[in-house]
Amino acid sequence: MKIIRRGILAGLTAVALGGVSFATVPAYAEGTVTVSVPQDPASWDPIDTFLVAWAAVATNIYDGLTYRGPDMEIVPGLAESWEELDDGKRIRFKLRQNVKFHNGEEFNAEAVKFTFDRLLGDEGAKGPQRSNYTSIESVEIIDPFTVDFKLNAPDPVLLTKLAGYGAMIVPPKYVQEQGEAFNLNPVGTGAFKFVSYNPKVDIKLEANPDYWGGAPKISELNYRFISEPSTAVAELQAGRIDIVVPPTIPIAMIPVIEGASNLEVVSVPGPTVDALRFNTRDGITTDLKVRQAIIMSVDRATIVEAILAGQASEIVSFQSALSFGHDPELQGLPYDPEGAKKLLAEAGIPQGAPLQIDIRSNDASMNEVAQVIVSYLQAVGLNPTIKPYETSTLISDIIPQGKTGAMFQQKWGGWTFDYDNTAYAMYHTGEQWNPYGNDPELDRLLESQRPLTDRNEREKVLKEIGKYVADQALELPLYNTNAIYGVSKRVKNFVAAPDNRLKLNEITVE
Amino acid sequence: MRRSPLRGRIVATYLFKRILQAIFVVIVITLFVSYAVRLTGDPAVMMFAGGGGSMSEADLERVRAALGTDKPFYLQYFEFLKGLVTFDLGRSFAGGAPVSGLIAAAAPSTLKLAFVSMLVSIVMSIPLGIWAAVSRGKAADQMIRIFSLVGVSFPNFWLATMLVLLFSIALGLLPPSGMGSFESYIMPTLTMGIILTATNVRLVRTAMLETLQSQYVMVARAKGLSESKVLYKHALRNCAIPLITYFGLQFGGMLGGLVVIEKVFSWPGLGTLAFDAVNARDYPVLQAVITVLALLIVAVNLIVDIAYGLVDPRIRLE
Amino acid sequence: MTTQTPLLSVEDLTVAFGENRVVENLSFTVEAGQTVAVVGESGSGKSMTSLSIMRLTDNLGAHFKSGKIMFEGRDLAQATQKEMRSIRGNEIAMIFQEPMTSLNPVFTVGDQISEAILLHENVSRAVAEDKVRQLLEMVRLPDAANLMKRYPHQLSGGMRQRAMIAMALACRPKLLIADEPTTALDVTIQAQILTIMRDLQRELGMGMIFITHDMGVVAEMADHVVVMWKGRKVEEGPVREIFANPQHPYTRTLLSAVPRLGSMKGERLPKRRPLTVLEDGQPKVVGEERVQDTVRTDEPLLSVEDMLVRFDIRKNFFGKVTHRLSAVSKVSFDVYPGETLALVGESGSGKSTIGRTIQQLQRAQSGVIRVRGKSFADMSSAELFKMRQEVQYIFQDPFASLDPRKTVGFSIAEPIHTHGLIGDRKQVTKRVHELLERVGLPSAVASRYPHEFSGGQRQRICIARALASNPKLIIADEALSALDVSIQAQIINLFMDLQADLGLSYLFISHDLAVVEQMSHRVAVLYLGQIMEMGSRQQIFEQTSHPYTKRLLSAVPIADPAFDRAEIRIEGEIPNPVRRVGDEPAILGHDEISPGHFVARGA
Repeated sequence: MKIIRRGILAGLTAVALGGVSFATVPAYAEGTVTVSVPQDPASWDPIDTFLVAWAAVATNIYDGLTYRGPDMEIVPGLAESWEELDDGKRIRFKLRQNVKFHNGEEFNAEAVKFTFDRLLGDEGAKGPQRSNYTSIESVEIIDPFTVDFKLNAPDPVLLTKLAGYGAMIVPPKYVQEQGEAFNLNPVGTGAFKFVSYNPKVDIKLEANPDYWGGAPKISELNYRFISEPSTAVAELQAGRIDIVVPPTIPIAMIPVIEGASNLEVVSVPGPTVDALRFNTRDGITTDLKVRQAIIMSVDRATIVEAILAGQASEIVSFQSALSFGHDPELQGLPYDPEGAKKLLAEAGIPQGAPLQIDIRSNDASMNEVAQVIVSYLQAVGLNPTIKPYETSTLISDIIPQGKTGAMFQQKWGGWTFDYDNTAYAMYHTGEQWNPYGNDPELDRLLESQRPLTDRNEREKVLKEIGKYVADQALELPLYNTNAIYGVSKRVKNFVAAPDNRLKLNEITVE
Repeated sequence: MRRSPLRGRIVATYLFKRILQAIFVVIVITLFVSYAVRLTGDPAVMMFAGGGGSMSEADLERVRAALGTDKPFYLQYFEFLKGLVTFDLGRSFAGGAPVSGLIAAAAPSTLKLAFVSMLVSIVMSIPLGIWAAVSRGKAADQMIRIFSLVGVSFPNFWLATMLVLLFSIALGLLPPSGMGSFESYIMPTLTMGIILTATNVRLVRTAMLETLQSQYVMVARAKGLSESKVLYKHALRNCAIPLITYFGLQFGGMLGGLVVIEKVFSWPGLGTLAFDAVNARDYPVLQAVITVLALLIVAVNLIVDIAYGLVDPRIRLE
Repeated sequence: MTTQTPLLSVEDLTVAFGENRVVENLSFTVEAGQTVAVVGESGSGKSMTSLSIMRLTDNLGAHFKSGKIMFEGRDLAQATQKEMRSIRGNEIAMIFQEPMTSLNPVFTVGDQISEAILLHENVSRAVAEDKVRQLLEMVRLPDAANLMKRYPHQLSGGMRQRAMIAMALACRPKLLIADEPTTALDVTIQAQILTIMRDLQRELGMGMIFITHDMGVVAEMADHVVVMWKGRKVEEGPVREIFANPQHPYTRTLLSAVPRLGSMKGERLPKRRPLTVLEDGQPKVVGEERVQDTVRTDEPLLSVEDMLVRFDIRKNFFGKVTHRLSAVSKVSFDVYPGETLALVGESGSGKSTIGRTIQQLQRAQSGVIRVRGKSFADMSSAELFKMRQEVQYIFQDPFASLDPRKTVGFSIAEPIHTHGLIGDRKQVTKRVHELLERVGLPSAVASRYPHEFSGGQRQRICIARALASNPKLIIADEALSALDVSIQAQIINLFMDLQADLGLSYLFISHDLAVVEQMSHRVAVLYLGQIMEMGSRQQIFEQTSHPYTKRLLSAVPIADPAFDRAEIRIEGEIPNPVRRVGDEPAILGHDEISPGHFVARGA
């Protein structure tokens, strides 16, 4: 399979580099942009999904009270301003006026209250999104354009969370009329209006000329669902697609796009981080020295350069450099195979001790990286084997049930860019992703930062958590991969979003 | 005419047996698939796993209750069977769309792809196979056999990509993916057609070689019939039984192969539906797709049986 | 004979596959209205000759090394395939050996016959169908209009061969080539077909080439005979000359090997006869003449009483049987040690079923089978297993019954191992060698494989294998039918020698009455699963009592052109033995008209 894949890439590259005639760009109607997303989320209702593919599209249909653009700053969205009251247990939002939903309904405090009552009520209980907003106790209408969010505890990440996913404001009347049909006929206040949705094929939007943030500069915006990377790239090459949204393009295909004169690759550090977590319950990895030895045997810098073509950066704790809580000072264990051998000897590990690494079979990069890790570990006298699992099986069965080998792949792409979101799920006792850990000290640290509204204070604790995890060597931290976009040069003013939530109201096309 | 009441009864018996068979097949296959897929993944976890959601056991319980996956397996399966009988296949776990709607949208796409591919392969493999049989051991036969050998070892994924490179990117003639215009059918069906032809051409050749040994072929020649009449009228019809049997079996096998073709060409068919359903552990959709596929295969068997009778009077229902 | 140009003249024809010459320097002529028989055994090139005239050899990959095939002033050897297509089926037509496979199973009989008419004659479909009807009536097929719509599988072998003749005659050809047209048919049907062909030839004035290995058929049909041997013509002449005064040694050996019905008149017991064989191209008489007085009538070895075998043919929806084939209905007979009992009959007579039931290849619904007085029903499974050793079976097709991947030595030793007769490996090898020599093969062949042997040698190997388990009874089911006559004569003598030496009993199942007359002590004539007549060979052949036996005997072609047969016109088909449940055939009683001579009553 791997050889075949390489062959295809070589072929694609050859064609691209050879500069063989490209299909002339089809004559689109003025201002149409077509984007490929890797998946059909199947429902456009904000409460139903965590899929990045949903957010990539829905950012253009809906708005939240806050907005976080590619610069990662939290700025006003449908709320013009806000203030924290009652020591962070109440947030008061002043809403934007004269905003209308696509169906003509007026946006007001009523709509905000409806949105959150729905999310936290029976309707929201069916979906996964509610779990991110459980700190909200109630939403109170102060006047038609003022609402108070009453919290059961301060939630420092809430303003970020209000910028995406489940917090997208929906039109009350329309949702009540439509019921389940809302899934397939979304209406928001966003820059683009829904036109049609064809399951597994595409969703079509048109410009909302009355958008409060100014009319979009393109007239039509179409999204096609293409999961196969080579297909998406072929469509891009053929000029039938203008933007390929991550995670679609594998690193190995970058040269193909770079070789085409009418295309470019835009990559930014994204939220996705990869690590190999240790099994701390059974086997040799229960020994701290062994875990440290394994970390020291792997040269991550080489992996990033050689395998990932520089489209990633090394990490020391399980988060992106953009993440709140990231500690640039934190030093990880160095690459030191000799030291690793010594540690293994001290731990009394015999030569050729077996070690199983569980990874996601469809993760092309990880499949290659794992091979390299195997050779690094062999170099220090271990005998690792790779066990690929179907992703669904790995994450919904093998990991939660604690059926993994000595090491298993953890991949995380929390859109909030807040270490709390990741660390709590990864290290708190009883969490799905944490089948083996049971550390009261870690639990205490994780719990202690949650109510803190003082950003500096909280950041300190998060850094402390990062250091604690590194000291305990709970995982072999690997890298933070870039979000890779393939973009046609006919698209101007394109700014890549680290979190894939690509708002396209500012772009223009030739 | 005198025998018509008897014939009617036999046809009824036959259909009754086929229906029983279909029910049996659907139950066995869906039972197996439903059980197996539940062993290896949880749709609730998959919902959170898309990105960035922390999930507590309570969250999972809540979602499981909403989906109904907290109930024991036999109850869930019983619900599914009840749904089959009442033609209500439930709603997709992913997005809550009615499953029947998803199937109704996807099935025709797959069927069109499958039938056109089959047609492409038959149109290619029969003349080639006959040509190979007639020129046994000569250059044409060798060429066709080499084509067949190479074709069988083509991964369909690779072949599809090569076609895309040639026709979409180098020549700019055909759309690289998607279903729509006539042009969009060419590459997917050609890919599948070539791969099927690679095996079929050998089969046609073998069946034809055997038939060409028959005395009635000699008799047909002795009548003074032209070679094309001997081959395409007398011999081909006698090869039809093994060929129809094989094409029927192949149809079932092909539905599996179409998953890859559908993915590569972003074809909105049952394969894509099943693929996404497996990834999301979307049980209602998966069960429905499997059921439809099983019924399709039963239907193809039925068509094969009818075709037997049409081409070979010895097998006609009496 | 005449000065006019013959219809067909084959001159110095050599046909080869690559360098392998299958026909060499062959010349003969056929006059209009004349029947030329081309006679020979397998490998003589007689079939290749007929295919060459039609130029159908091209499709088989053969080519002409030399010679001409002059037909109506044209040399067919030089004609293009396109020219040949207008001749084939039109001016020269052909009938093939296997009526079961010469008709295309997926087209109606009418379509297949009219195809040639539509091809060669510029007529409408309606006219063509009308002609087909006439043709079918001409070959005496009843209900022609209905028959046209039938498919080949709905017709019996005889009907198919008649349809085939109708097809060949569709365009009134000037020359008809018939390649073994009756070999696969039962004798009564053969007699009908031969009569039809003779009549039609006379009527149409065709020239006819009749290819056959059966000297009886030659004597009945031919004006002129061409004898072929190993691809060459060794002798030709008018038919009476050939039979009365054969010149070539091969012709002489061929004629001496042919069993002739009635040649044993007045003999009480079967007789082993000396054989003329070719040695270095010279005929030589080998073997002794001996009366086969081997029967010991104290206690029967095998005793069959009221054997009844039925097959369920069709079931209704509830699985209840609606139609049954009564293969064997209450058949009783005894076989004594050293005796040969022949079971004769046509297709569907149940003769093979009886053999298979005794060999326990099949179960009887009722009846008792006893071996040396002990019934199968009373035997333990160990005893039944021993029966498989004592009763051996030899099949018609020796090639199909030998494993092609095992050496013949292995195949012969197999029953020895199965029944644990000899433990010592060396002794087994010795025994295998002994058996091979016993059946007239050198012991060295034990390490060879079946495909290295000829048909006759393979049948000898099968006999050796049967002998390996020291049987008391051998059931030989059409064991001679697939063999050439000269080989057949040798195997008959082998059977008789083994009987004389080892005291074997044979249940000899055959449709060939001449062979039966020569080698059996007693004969049972079967028809539709019942015995019509049973008695000593003299009683059956000389005091023939049952009409069916008479009919059967009269149908056998006599290998003597001087023999003037009483023209008994045999009509009708062999009835279908499948009956509805509840409509079982009546069981006929028997009268003993003289000691040991039983004849079925009534019917």
